[in-house]
Amino acid sequence: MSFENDSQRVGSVYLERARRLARTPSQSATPGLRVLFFRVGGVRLALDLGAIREVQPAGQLTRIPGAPPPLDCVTQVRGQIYPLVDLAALLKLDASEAQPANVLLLRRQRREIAIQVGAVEGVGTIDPGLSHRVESNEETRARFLRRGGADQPFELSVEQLFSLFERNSTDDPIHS
Amino acid sequence: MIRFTVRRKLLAGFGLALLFLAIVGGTAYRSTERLAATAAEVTHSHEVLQKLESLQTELANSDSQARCYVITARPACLQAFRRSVNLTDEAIVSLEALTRDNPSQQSRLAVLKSQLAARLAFFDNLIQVRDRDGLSEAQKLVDAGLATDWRATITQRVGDIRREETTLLQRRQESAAASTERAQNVVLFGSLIAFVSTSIFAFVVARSITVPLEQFREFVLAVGGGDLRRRSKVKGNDEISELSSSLNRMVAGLTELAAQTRAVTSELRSTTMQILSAMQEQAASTSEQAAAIQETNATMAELTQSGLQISDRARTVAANAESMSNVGNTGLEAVQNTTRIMESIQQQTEAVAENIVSLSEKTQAVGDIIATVNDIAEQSHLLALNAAIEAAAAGEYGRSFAVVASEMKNLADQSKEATVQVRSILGDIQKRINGSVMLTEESVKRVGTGKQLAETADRTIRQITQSIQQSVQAFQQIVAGTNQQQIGFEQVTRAIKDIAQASEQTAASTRELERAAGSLETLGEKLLSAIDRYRT
Repeated sequence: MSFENDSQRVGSVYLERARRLARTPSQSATPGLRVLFFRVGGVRLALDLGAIREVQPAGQLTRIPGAPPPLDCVTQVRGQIYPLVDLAALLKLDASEAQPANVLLLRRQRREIAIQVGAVEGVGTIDPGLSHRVESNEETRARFLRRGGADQPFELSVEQLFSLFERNSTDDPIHS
Repeated sequence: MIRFTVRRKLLAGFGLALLFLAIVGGTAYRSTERLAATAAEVTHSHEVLQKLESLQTELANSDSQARCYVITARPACLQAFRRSVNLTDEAIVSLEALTRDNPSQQSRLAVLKSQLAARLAFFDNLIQVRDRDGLSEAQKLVDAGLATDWRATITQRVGDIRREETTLLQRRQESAAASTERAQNVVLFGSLIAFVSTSIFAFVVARSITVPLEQFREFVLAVGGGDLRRRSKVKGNDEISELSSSLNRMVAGLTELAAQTRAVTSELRSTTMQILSAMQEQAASTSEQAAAIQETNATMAELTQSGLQISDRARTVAANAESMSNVGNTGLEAVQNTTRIMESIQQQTEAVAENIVSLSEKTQAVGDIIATVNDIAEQSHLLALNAAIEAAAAGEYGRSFAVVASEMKNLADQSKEATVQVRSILGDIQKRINGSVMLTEESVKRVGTGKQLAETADRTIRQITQSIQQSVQAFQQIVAGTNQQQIGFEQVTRAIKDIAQASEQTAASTRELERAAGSLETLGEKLLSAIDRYRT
């Protein structure tokens, strides 16, 4: 790789950007569900953009004594405490992958939680009609992943995530 | 006591015969000598008588010739008269010489000589008268009768001398006849006696020799027939008895010798068998040795050929080593140049290393800046995401802001991607700088090592050059040694050929020995059978 090639590539990027900005919003809008793409344990996931309030780098995690994983930690963002869901542990994915850790702050009906994810790729849309149902032997994955497979990322169910914190503390929030 | 040996017997026999022969011979010689003397006296008497006859003849002839002259006065008659007178004188001289040992005859001849002188004087006077006075006067002298007287006197004297000589002749003839008879008797009887006595003695001596010899013959025939138990029984004190004793001892020795020979022959036969076996083994060994020698000869030929090749190779190697020595010197100079260059390279490399280290530090600072930029890009990325989230939350009103947020995100992504690329490039640069540092350090070390190696190479090349020079000398010595070795190989080859010839000769000799051993065995068998003839 040379710097000359890089300048050409940057020039091409700027040209594409200019063309995209020249299009009307109706032209640029893509029909479908707007989601945020991210990765957890090597798996590409998507989450409804409406449920996401903020993305933050993963700060210091505080472990809660006696709490069952993956709900055994909390985190704070700008002084506010958020219960944290470790998605890799929840979906039994490979958490050893070295990825920059981020925290997604979710909000639903004035309730806010945080989920720990890997790399956040960006905002996009998915077609709900073209998505496939998740067929997995793992009961947990089938519960928390709404659709996806083949070439499409798996969509994480926001409701199921918030439902983890709506049960009694004596119940098993995961295998119920 | 006299010891009658055969030698003495033979000497006595032959001595006796020689004695008789000497006696008979001496007697015969004396008789013959006496007979010869008598014959000489007889011959002498005959000569005297013959001279007397000649004297009478010449006297008569001179009378006739004197008368002839007186009568005829012919000179021839006178010459004849003178010649007869001379012959008469010669006859008188011869008679004096012949009868010199007879005094009576000498006296008679002296008288006759004086009478002849008177007669000659008468005739001379007569002749003178005839010549002077003629025939008649001469006739008167003749008639006076003087001539007749002289003739009768002379005839009487000559007759006396003849009778005396005839008497001597008769007596000498009788003596010769007696001598002849005596010599015949001596020869006859002496020979008879010698024959008889010699025969008797020869018979005795021959008997004393032949009888023991006959016994010896029987004894020797018996011994020759193998009867070694026989002994000679001849007794006595002569050589034959000594020979008998010696023969008995010899037969005893032969008996012992035959026994020993029989034992030795048996042992010799067994030994001969062993020798024959050993000869056969030796013949086989000799054949193997000949084959081995041929192989050795071939091997020596190969060694010789190899030696030649080694010599050629050694010369070539010596030449190469010499050229290598020259190359070594050149290499030594090159190594010294290399050492100097390595020192300069080391200095330059150390300078390069310092520059690279400085560059690495600068690159590290750039890396820190890039890390800061990356953090900013990360934060911008998150900020753009959050802006996008806020724009989504704003719904239709946040659509434009969503575009800005998207562009911010793109820029942040591009910045991040650029920082990633720059970091990657910086990492690559850092790695390469680190690698360069390491390489430079390694180069410095290697240059140092190279310098040391160059110094080592210098020493090594010096040692190699020295070793090559030593090798050149060694190869020259090897060439000389190989030449000597070649000579040695040739000598060894000749020696092996000689050994091969000797081996062939040994093989031939072994075959001869084998045949000889076979012959010896046959001879042993024959000797044993021959020894078996003798009864001990």
